[in-house]
Amino acid sequence: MTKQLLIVFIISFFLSISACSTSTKQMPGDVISDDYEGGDPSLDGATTGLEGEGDLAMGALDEMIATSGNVVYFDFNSAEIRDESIPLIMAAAESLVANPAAQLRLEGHADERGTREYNLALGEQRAQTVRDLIMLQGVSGNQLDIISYGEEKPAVVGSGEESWQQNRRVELIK
Amino acid sequence: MNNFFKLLIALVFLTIGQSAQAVLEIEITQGIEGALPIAVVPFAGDTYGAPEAVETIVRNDLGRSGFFDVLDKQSIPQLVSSPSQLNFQVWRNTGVESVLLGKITQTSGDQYRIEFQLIDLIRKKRILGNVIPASTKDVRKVGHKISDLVFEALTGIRGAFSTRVAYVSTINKGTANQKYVLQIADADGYNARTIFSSSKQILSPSWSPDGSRLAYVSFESGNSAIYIQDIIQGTRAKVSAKKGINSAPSWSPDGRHLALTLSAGGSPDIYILNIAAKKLKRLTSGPSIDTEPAWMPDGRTLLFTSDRSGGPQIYQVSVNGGKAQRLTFDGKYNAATDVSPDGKYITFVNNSGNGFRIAIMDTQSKAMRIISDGHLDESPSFAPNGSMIMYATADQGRGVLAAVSADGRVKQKLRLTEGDVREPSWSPFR
Repeated sequence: MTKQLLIVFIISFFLSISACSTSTKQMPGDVISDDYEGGDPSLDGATTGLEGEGDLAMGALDEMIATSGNVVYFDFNSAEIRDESIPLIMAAAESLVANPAAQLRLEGHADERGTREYNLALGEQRAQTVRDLIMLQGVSGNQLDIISYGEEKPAVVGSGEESWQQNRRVELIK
Repeated sequence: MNNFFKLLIALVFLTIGQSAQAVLEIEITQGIEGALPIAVVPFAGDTYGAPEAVETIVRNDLGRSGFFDVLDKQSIPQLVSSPSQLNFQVWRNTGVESVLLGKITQTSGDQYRIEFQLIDLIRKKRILGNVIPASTKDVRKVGHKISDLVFEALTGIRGAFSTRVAYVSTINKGTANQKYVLQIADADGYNARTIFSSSKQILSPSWSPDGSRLAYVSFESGNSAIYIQDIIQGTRAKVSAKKGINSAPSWSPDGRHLALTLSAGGSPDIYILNIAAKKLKRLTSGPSIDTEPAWMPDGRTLLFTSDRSGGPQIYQVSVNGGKAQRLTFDGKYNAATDVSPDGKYITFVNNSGNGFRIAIMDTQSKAMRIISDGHLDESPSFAPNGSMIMYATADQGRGVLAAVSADGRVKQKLRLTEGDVREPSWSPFR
């Protein structure tokens, strides 16, 4: 746990220096891009939700979501943030700092493997890891809301790593 | 090879009405040596309860328990209903050691007299004899009652065929009308009825020790919250709705407390809620995931899942708190434990590299055995007599309930015709 936090610290420090260049460079060539961009109806749904009425403009985050979606993905039974997700999380943090009245909801999920209650806890842990990294950038905890659905709300139905990897996630919802 | 021959008996009950909503498959996955050879003779005059037959219900109950080797109906040498008609010589050739005989007579309108006798063919004496008065709607109840009595007479263990199971099912999955329902059915999957229905997720049903109430998790208010519902009155009360996770309720043996998981303190930890006093006591702390509490029968110790050592493993802690002790060491994933009624065994989900399967462990020797063979098996729950374990498994992409005898020898699937079923919780005795 502490090791994980330390890694988050190091990564966030590194990114606070190089966030801009990384965020534009890293996404298109990313290993997950083929599966995740446009191919997942639930992501489309979430993106539509983001453009709802009355929302504050969240420039950096809006831009990031438009190009690469609003989802942070995880390894099995892990709440550690992968490098590929850092740009999205940084964009969220940047937007929340710029708009102190803005709110962001972090929905944590797990794949169907393992027990339901443990997965509920794991989903929350994933959302917390994302929240902690956003808060490290100076965002107030009041701007962030967390909920876990465990394995109960899969983005993709089906068994196999193809589905599972899309279900181990935290969705960033404005 | 002979030791592992597979015998598949598919028993399809095509009946009308609600009780028709299940197909029971019994698969005996290993040799049945050691099981008690028994015959169940069709009851004389058994048009009662048709198309269901008391004899068929009893035959299935005994067969799926793993304790009995039930003689095929076709191999029954004599269709008799009274011990005086038994030709012991003829029965000797079947290898059967005891036989259940019965007779059903109509006493008036919808009232029947179901007489039955269990005969020891070796000692040539009656082990059990009884009469049950009943109406036709009680046919399954009568069958299970007879099974309970036969089971206890021959094994010395109280029969659990008249018990029930609670579970969660998703109906119209993936459609606009998707619904989550909390249901209660007979332990063999029949007579399912819905006690709570929601468009939001339902999780983790847990029986009160007297079988009158269920605690469960519902997302109906947006976040997880724990409810207690009286299954007879239908009344329900929200007992925990804190910030973060409210989950994994588990009723204490005295019925006065719920162990549960809350993350309001930062990370998921185990708490004990005094239901009447609405007072919470925290048992675990620290940044790890602690969840899925289960009580030992003495009410003084709780088992739970924790990832404090890296991956999920089973630990135990005193209800007074203090240091938790790790119980499981085999495999990288051990979670969601349930304790046998005598406290001698625990069952849980294990992954030792071949998928998620149900394991049973002797709490004294710590010897562990895998007793299921699926890839996504979960939510094991002991029968109230400890003889079998019900769990959830995937069957062609759909969630179904399965049960396995505690020795792993007999497995069965309960296929409900509707919905994606999971999270079985076996009721206590009535």
